[in-house]
Amino acid sequence: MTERPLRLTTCTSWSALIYVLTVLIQQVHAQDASSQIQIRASIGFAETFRLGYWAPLHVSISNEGSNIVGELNVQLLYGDELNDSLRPKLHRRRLDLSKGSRKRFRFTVYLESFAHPVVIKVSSGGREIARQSIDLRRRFTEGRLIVVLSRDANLDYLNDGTGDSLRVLYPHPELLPDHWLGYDGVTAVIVQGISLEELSTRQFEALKKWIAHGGKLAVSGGSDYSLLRTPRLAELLPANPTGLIKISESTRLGEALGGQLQAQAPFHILRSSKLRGRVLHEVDALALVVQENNGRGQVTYLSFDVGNPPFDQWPAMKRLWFTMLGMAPTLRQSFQKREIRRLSPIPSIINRGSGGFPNHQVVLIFAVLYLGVLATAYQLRPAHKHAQRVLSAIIVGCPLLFAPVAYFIFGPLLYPVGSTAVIVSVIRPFGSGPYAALDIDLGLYSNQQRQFHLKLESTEPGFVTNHREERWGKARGFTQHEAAGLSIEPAGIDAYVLHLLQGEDVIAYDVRASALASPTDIALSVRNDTGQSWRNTWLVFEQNLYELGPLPHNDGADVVRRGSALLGKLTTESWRSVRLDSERSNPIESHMTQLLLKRAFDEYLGLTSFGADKALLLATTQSPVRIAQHSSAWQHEELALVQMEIDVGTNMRTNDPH
Amino acid sequence: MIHTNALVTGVWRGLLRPGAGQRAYLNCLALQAVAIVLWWPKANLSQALAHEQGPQPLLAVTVAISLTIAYYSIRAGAEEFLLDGQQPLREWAVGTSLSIRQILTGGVFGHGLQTLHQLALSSPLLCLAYTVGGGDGASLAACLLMVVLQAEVFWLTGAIVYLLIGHSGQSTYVTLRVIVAATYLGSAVAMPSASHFRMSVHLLGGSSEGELSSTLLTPPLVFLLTHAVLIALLCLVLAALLLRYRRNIAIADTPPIKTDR
Repeated sequence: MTERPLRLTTCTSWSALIYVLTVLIQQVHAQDASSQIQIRASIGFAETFRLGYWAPLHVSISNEGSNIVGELNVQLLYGDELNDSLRPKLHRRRLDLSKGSRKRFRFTVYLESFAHPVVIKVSSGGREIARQSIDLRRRFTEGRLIVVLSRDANLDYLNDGTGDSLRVLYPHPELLPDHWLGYDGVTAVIVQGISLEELSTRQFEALKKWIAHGGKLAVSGGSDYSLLRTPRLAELLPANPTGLIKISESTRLGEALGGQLQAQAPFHILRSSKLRGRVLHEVDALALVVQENNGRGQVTYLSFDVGNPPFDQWPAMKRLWFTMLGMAPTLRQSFQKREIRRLSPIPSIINRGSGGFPNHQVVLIFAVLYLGVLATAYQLRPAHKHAQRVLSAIIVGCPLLFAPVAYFIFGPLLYPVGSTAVIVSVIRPFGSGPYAALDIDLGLYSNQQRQFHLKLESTEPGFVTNHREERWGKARGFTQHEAAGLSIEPAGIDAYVLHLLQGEDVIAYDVRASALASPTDIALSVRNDTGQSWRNTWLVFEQNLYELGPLPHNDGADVVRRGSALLGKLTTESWRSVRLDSERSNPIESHMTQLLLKRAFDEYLGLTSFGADKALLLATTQSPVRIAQHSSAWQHEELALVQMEIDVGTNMRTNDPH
Repeated sequence: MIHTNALVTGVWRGLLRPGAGQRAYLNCLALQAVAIVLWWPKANLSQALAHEQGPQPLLAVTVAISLTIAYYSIRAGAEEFLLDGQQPLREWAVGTSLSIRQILTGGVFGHGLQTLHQLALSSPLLCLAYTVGGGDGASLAACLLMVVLQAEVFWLTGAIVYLLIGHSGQSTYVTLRVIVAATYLGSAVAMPSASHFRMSVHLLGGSSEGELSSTLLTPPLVFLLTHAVLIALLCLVLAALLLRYRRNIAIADTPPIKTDR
């Protein structure tokens, strides 16, 4: 009897000791892990970025401690705490870091304001083991950015903090973005004396897409012209350098470029062949500056070396850059905010007026039927034992039968339970080049309270939360999982909350189209190499709306459609008259098509500068953003509208006797 | 011990035969069905999304189930009605040689069985409401577990009131209903974590951010602990009352009745 309390005390003491030791070991281990993880981050280009634009973020993590399997999180905060509209966005990646190793991660982040720092966290086993905050207040600029990729060129004379507000930056090529959106804040990229071969495939693809989206690339030739003949530069340049020409007399060359050039010593320029695009400056049939449009952007080839004499010190060079790159001087406007968020079309697409919940009457009939069966069973008074057993079975079995029937009828049959994604895309082919701009609007909701995430495939758009009217409730953030594809996980688990996101990307979408107009109709010629058939096609020309029907992808062959089905003059209400083939399209698709056409028509009618020899080609097709197999349980409604401005030939009209 | 308990067996047999108890619960089912019909969404899906407020038939039917079962339980505890073949609690105390512990265990588990049967009867309505209600399965299961515990509290309360007052005209009738109303209103206002109504709103009301979420323990745990303690206390009170009743009757030397054991 006397030993028992003693044993208990001993056990308690040992337990307490073990607990304390475990906690201490965990604390020491946590501190140890955090002190041995080093996070280095670099944001923008040479630590400079523009507010309201996307920028690259490079994170380098080194581990001097034990092996780590965890996560790397980059957290950005958008919106305003005072208005209760704070929208966090979390970029999440898996982190597998063995002892003594270092890994580099590239992110593309949208930097809206400097009010909140960018927070980088490393966590393992649910615990945060390292963190670094990047203060954005001293790194942003309001000026336009020019990125120079060169080993020795000095273009600092372009720096201007006054009227034109330009910043010239010299990032290491290794730190260039691997997503085209990373160049969002860049006005031009100038390459001198290096090739682009050291860029990764993703980096080079990002550069090409950025150019197609409207970026400007200028490449200056040097004495080592073999650099310009490397595959990547050769693919981009509008000319092929074939040799060097020694220039001793620079006056005429200067005049050709628009200034007085006095060279102290002879210098070399490049002889070029296979010229494409426009020759902006030449001397004695020798091309000095050649420019070619590439999508919405342009590539400029300079056959002289801007990093060496006499051009590195030439006062006229600044003006020449401005002319070549089409950089009109702009006045600095302090705190001018660029708004990239647009009003989402998803709410109007969801607002169909019908559909949704099962009817009241069905509920009422079911309840009456169930209660009626039970009431009848309770009223029965069978005399025989066998009948009593049957009645007992009915009393027990009745709810067991009706419960699954209720779930089936009101669940999968009339109102499927789960998550829904509405994906609306607008594809705007650039015309020249195989790329197109892609604007995506995403609406996600669930009719069950749960955490859900949507895995997407085929493109990697940059997503931000969409602008929404106040009545659409509180703004919410989301997490972007970036391992092996892209997954979106909206914040919160509440049911019946519509999460609106918008994204943009540049995708490969090779389509060429032109039209030939006659007094009675219009003929459309399309070479659709996109691999996607168009479900319905329309053409708007001279305010007339033509219906052209479906158009298959045709792998390089031209398909001609005659737009004889004139739907009348285009007005803001024309979308109502568009009827789809009911065999091929369901009511939801018809509704989405009409709303997308309405938006396109409104945009067209609002344009004042739409050329008289231009037509607007519209077509509906499958969305290029698809839900991955992993998320196949999602219900989804998706549609893409191809929206393209095309040239209209007027040969037939010139033959018009009237 | 439970499955051989005569009180549990009596309840099980009673549930398989139509009787006053079942007919009383049929009225409760009718009320639950009315709640579903009234709270069935009148707007369409886009309006629900516009207001970020889902339809609430699941919450409505859960609250209706909770309220009707609470009301049913207190009446069953006070023996306003019995299942077919079910014996009153006092009879078990004075007419059998079962210990008070066995009687209480049988009574509590027997009523638990009855509550589960009632939930089974309500299950078609729950399934119906669950499809559009937006709640998750775990929250619904937590709410139903709370209904079972709450039913025990009300059953024990009804039994205590009956042993204290007996079936003395209107006073028992009024007392029982006042207790249900006061408990429901009082807990909802003064102690939200012990209120099934507030817990249902918290768990199934369509918002993951509620005022109850800031407590140290998770709100369902607070509810379960509170009710477990209440059940233990009420069991002690009921045991004392049954013991006193048995002693009083023993003095009068009433002959015992025959039991199934």
